[in-house]
Amino acid sequence: MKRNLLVTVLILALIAVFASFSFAEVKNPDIIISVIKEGVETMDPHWANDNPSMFEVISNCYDNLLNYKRGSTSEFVPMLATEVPSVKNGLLSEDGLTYTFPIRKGVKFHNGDILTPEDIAYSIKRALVFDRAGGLSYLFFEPLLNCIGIEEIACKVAGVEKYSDMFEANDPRGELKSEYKEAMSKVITDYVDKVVSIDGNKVIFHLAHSYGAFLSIIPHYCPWSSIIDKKWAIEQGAWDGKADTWWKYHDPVKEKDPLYQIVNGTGPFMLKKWVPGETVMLERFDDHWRGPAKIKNVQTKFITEWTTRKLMLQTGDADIVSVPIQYLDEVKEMEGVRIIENLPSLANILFMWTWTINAKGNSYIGSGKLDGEGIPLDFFSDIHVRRGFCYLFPYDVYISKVLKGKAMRSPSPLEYPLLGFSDDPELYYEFSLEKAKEEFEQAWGGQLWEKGCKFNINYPEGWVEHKAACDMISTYAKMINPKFEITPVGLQWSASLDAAWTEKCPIFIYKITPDYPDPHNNIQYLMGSKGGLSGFCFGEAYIKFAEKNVDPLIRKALKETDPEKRAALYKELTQIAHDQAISLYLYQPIAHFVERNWVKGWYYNPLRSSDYQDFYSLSKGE
Amino acid sequence: MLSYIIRRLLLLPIILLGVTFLIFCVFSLLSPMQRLATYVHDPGSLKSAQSIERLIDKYHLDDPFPFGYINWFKRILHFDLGWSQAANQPVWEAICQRFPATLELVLYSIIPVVLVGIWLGVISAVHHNDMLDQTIRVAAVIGWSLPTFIFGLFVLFIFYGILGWLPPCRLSPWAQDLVYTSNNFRSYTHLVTIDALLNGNIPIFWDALRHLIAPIITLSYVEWAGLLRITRSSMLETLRKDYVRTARAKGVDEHTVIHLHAERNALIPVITIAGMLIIWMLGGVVITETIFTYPGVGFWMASAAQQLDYGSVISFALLFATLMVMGNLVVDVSYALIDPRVRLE
Repeated sequence: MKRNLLVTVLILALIAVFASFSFAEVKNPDIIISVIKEGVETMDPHWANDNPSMFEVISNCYDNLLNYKRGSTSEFVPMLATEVPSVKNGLLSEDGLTYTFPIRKGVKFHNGDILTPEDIAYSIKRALVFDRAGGLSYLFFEPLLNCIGIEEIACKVAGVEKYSDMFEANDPRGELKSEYKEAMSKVITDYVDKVVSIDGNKVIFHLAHSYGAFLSIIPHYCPWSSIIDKKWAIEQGAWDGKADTWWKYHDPVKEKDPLYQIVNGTGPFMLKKWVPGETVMLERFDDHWRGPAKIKNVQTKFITEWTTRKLMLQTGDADIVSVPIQYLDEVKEMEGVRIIENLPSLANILFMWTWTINAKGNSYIGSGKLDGEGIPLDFFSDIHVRRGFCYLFPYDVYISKVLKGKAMRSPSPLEYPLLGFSDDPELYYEFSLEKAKEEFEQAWGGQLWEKGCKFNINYPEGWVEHKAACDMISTYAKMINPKFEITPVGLQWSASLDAAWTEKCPIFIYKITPDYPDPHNNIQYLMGSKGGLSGFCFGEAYIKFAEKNVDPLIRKALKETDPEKRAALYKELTQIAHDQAISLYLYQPIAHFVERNWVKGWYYNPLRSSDYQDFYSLSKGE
Repeated sequence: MLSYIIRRLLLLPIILLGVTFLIFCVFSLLSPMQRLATYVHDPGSLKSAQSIERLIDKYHLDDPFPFGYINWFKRILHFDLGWSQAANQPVWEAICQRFPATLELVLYSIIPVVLVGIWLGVISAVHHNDMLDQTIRVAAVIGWSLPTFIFGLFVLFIFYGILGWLPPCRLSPWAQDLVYTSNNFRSYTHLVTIDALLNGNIPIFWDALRHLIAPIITLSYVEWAGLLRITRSSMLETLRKDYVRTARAKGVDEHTVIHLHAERNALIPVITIAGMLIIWMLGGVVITETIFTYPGVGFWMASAAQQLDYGSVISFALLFATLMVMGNLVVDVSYALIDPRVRLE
């Protein structure tokens, strides 16, 4: 009896204790808690190439020379520079080769050091030297040095074919052979040092050629052009700025990167603690040059499980939560939660086809011949095949039923509202089985229609909406001709790397997000003969086509500095994309943002996925 | 017994070599492009053929199989477990960060698992085939067959979503701030509840405990059923033994017969199972850790396997295999110590 009474009292006491932790008004008023799906990979701006690192942490801790005007993807405002270079204000030369940035005075780094033009020059040069494989520093090389990377320059100066040839045991992370030391030093003295100079309080960029997109690779949300503290970076073990050591700091493995887990920027937040895989804690930098942020602390948590994120939002333990589109309805009726919808996001989903397929070990193309049991390697080099598929897809039904209306048609490689985006109805392929049939009947001199085809269409495993798109293509193809056997196959990420990037996939559905919001990024990537996707996954036949028909226009548009003229050139390129059915452009997602209604100050920035925040503008209150 | 122990310990390096070699073999079946997936999560970062070649060279993804294994082995001999791409930190640091979390969860969970499992197993055996036994067995079947993720989500939904009592993760934001960044909090064991007591910080102790309860409930409910069945079966067999009948015939009270004579002997096989259960759970309880976003080794290993981060998988396999071997040895030795009839040859 006594024991039972004791147990009951204990249980009641525990309930009372736990109940006191229950729902409260504006939870954690001094901290904004943002919950995202993936973890941060690095704190080094020159390493970062993942959204959480770039947009959740680096852009809140580091500043750039310029920023985007709120909500715009093409208008700039000063940040660490005091003016935006233009021909009108004389800070951009008329030939487009020189950009001058007067630097703001009195800006402090988190450790108290004062920003100087040397920090800016060092930051850019370090980006060039660092140039890690798979990183984003390569974006500087095209305008500043007219090449793809520092290794290309090194090989040219040293007169070798491969960069690793200059090192003992062909290990670029090992000892440099002594005979190459002088040549390697010249990479800095004759090339890197010449791209940026200092004149009093001004930093001057010297371009190799006119580059209309240059200002788009400088501003905020471009981590590769974040400004770091030179003195501090060298103290931590980063490149010392000297010409005769740079190769030791080039393309390190992550564990050897001295800045991978530390931060010292001029941004409104300092890094308090990063627990990999768990959380990043930021605290307000009170000496920030714009004035201190309204919120004192920020905590970003990495939680992959949707139910957990949802419940944290519901209970108020999370202020901002990443909500996948398929779960949006679950939070719509949630008390105390605000949802902002219909936000155009800079992403493009498309079917890409390989104009020349790699036959080696390829199980996706059946017999490899146009005999009804497969497709030939150059199947998609026939324009009628490509156009046929473009007419085959039920775009509106797909957007309304599968995507629940949370997308807009994307008629071209460019997304709205990028410069050059065109909404011309002529650019949209309509869903028409009649027209698809007409095109297929003409393809391959009529042989395709007569014999049929058999091949796989690939999508990344786990992407339900992409699978649905592939199913639709397969279904409608069979509907117009029962001899068309197209089988959707989901690929794990590792398998898709192996298949798509070795030109084995006949058709592959893919999502791209631009590195920076300039049409050159998209067009080059998706249409250029040396584009990251088109030059690499579309095959030899496409490269030849692009060299002749696309590259000259791309170069012309890139060199043009007048925005109106550039826009006209990109419209011309999108017309080519349409006429030649270079890819099947599906849709541009419409994003949404979900927060507790006690969060104030959020604004939409299309450059930064709605999953990641500009914490400087945020506060909490009733 | 000493020679037995030494022989078992001598087998350890061979086992570790075999396990790691096997894992390496599996990963080496993947092409260099496939293994590149460990380092490239966004295809947008592959801007050119050169960037792919550079990445493959940089991470030695096309090294012939024996070289890759030998290079890894050489590093292990220097106690360098390498880098975890999945954790974004050295493997050793990842283990030191995550293993204590799993250890803490397992140590707390094993108490209800063992106590409840044994207690109910004994009751069930003593009340063989009557209503109580049937009820307990039905509850055991439910526990045994209920998928962990369903029960875990249920617990999360009720105790956190509706009641707000038992939140996920390891600590609340204010506690995390103190534990991770404050100079006033020293981590002695990296078991937060223990460290909180050692620091005399009761609010952090309660906060950590509050975050542990839901995963403990989930883990315990799923695991006690197995232990119950073994205890029941062992107890039933023991209760039929002659010495138990003799004790009853001598007039020993039933409580003494059950708890002093029968239970102690019935628990011998149960100890074996309980020991193995602890070791198995230390390998990471992936689903529970995922649902409650509990930052233990299980969740990390699941991510590492998905990302083909073989460096992490192999290194953790080393640790886990060592634990398994040592754990098995301890169980076998304790078995021999408890039951004098057992001889270790």
